[in-house]
Amino acid sequence: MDRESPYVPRVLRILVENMEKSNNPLGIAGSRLSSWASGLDLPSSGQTLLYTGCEYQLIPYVLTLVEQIKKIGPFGYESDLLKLAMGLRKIGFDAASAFATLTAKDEAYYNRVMRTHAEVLKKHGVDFAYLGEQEPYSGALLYEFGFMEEFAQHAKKVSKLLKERKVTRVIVTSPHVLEAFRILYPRFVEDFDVEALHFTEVLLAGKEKVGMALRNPMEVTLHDPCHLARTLNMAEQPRQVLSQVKNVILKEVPYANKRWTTCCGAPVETLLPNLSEQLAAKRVEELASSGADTALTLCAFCLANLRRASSGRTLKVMDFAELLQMALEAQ
Amino acid sequence: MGHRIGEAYRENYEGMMRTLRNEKIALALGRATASYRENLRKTLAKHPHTLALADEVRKIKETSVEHWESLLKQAMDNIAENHGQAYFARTADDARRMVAEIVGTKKLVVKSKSLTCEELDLRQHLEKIGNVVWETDLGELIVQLLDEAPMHIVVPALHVSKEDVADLFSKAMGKRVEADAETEVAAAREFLRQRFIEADVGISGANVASADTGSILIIENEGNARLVTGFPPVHVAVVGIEKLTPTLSDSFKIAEATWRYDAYSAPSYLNLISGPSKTGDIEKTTTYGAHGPKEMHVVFVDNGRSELAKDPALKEVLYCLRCGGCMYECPVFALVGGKFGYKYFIGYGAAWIAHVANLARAAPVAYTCLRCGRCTERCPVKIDTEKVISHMRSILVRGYDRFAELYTAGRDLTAGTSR
Repeated sequence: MDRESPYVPRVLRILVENMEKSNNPLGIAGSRLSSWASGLDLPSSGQTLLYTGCEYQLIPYVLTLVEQIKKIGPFGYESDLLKLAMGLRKIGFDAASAFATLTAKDEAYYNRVMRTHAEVLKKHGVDFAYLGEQEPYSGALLYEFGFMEEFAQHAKKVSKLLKERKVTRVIVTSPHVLEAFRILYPRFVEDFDVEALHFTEVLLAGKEKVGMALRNPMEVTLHDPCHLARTLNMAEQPRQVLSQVKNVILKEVPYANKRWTTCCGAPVETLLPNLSEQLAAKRVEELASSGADTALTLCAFCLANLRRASSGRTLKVMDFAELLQMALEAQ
Repeated sequence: MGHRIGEAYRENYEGMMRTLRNEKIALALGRATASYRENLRKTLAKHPHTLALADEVRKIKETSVEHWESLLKQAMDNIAENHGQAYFARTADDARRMVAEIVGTKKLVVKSKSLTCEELDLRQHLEKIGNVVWETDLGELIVQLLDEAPMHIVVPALHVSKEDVADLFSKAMGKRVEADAETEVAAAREFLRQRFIEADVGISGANVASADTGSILIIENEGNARLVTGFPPVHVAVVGIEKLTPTLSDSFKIAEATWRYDAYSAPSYLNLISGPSKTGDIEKTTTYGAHGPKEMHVVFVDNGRSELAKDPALKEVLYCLRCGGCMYECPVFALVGGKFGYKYFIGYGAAWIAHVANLARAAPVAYTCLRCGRCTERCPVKIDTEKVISHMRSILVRGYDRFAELYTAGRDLTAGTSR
């Protein structure tokens, strides 16, 4: 099998195998990945979907995995620890025991952030369905790491599912999912005609204007996710949304904002955890140099990597949706 | 094979981690980045036509790389007509052998900065066969004395503090050199001056080569390249075939874009060399070797470039001007410098490494790149690293043959961005 290519870091092959077996790179059960929505009574079918791509929900597992990878060594290439790496393959299939160290706190937080997106949309009068347990991962990671054929297969599967469910529009909460649906799927899947809209685009298009205001003035800075600001050319949308929130004072990071934003380091977190941490630490410094004490971001991976790097520092890292929720609750 | 790849991964990783722990390097890289950005902002404001020039240069490079074979022939013919000698080296071995034959043994060689020579390990090879070779670019000299690999393509010793340079020079020159930039520059000048005079051969690279005149252009600030190419009786230029350009006026455009994106209004020196030194002042009889070299040799090097030129997704890395601007924008480079690479640096370098070295060396670089795309924002010729890395990774997953099949059968699967 060519995924045994010796050139490819072993950790990645494990992620790819999990994808085939369970539709997400860490092999986590759909019931766990959809638990964030319990009690929201979201319909399970409709023309417009909220498509999470499972990203926020997977973060606690990614954090645990990264801790394990630190023991295995970079790229999964330390030969004497290879056995451990192979043992890691089991992770996907025995989530309960392998993720015993999973912190309930992380799980609760990232599920809440996902839920916040849904609640903010609802408060803006946006109707949508959610596939729940059956929602597949977007496959973005397969493309990212060069598994083009696997990505093509996965994209076809997802596309077929969306077609069967008569979905014509998806609202997405991730730059990676947006890139997949807007740029990549049309290239890999014939007749892919699902319109993908970013969370911020949906809020800006909302007909009824919802008042958003914070109780007290708050200085924030924006960490533009690379793929949102550069690949998708969407640096302005988050700023437009923020401009509608009273009492928010946006302080830009000098130089490294919008199309010049600096990567948070998350792309290499499973391959080079040490480097990833340093990259995040440096970005946190840059964000702090804006003078704001809160940084907002719009990507699950940026959020996780920057939060970890900012712990113990004065700069607080929040999801963009969390701030909107605060502004809505203050009404 | 797995073992060799594992070694390449390990070496790459250990190099990066050593640098990551070195706070002095991070500080030096941080300062260099801040001053680069400020200087570039100023110089682009002063010369606003540069942006349009860069677009034009991208087009010139596209045409040039497409037609490298005919340009090579034309350039070689014109060099011969100019009484220079031109060679074409298909492989790195060929290139080393050709230069070695010109140089011979027991010679004193002075060299100016060249990434292509670095790629070929040319200095090391000439030393091995019994020559003494001195790097004359200050940064390269420091790196040579340290016995390390360069950290940056334009500023090789970006990571070495003036205190460390003082210690290094004191040891090499056998006298105390104070830790002060001016004193150190003076020490290097004194150390190298006699060597320039005594040298048998000068070796240089080239920033551009124009086919219609058989000329090479070398951009520099120190003045060492003028001495290397002007003082010794023999000059050898080692030039990658991607540097070929149809006309001399195109070459000037490429040169201007190169130094501008290296944040210069203009470099101190631009050397244009089209053949050996000559005079016709005595009875209009052309005599070679007046004040400059009597012999001028140009070795054009392929070493994987022609294969790269055939790959529709990767060929754009051949448009690289070597201005070095991208490196100041790469977040990984900011932490580990030239350890993010192998002879060629940062993400797009992986495609170079795959072709001029091998896939094992390219793999860790391809999988270290963040695909964040900020290098492309800076790049004057807009090399799309996101696309290059996607393509490189799919090659690493599938191997060249399988990918070529996929690629020609279907669509441009890796066209990475919306740019």
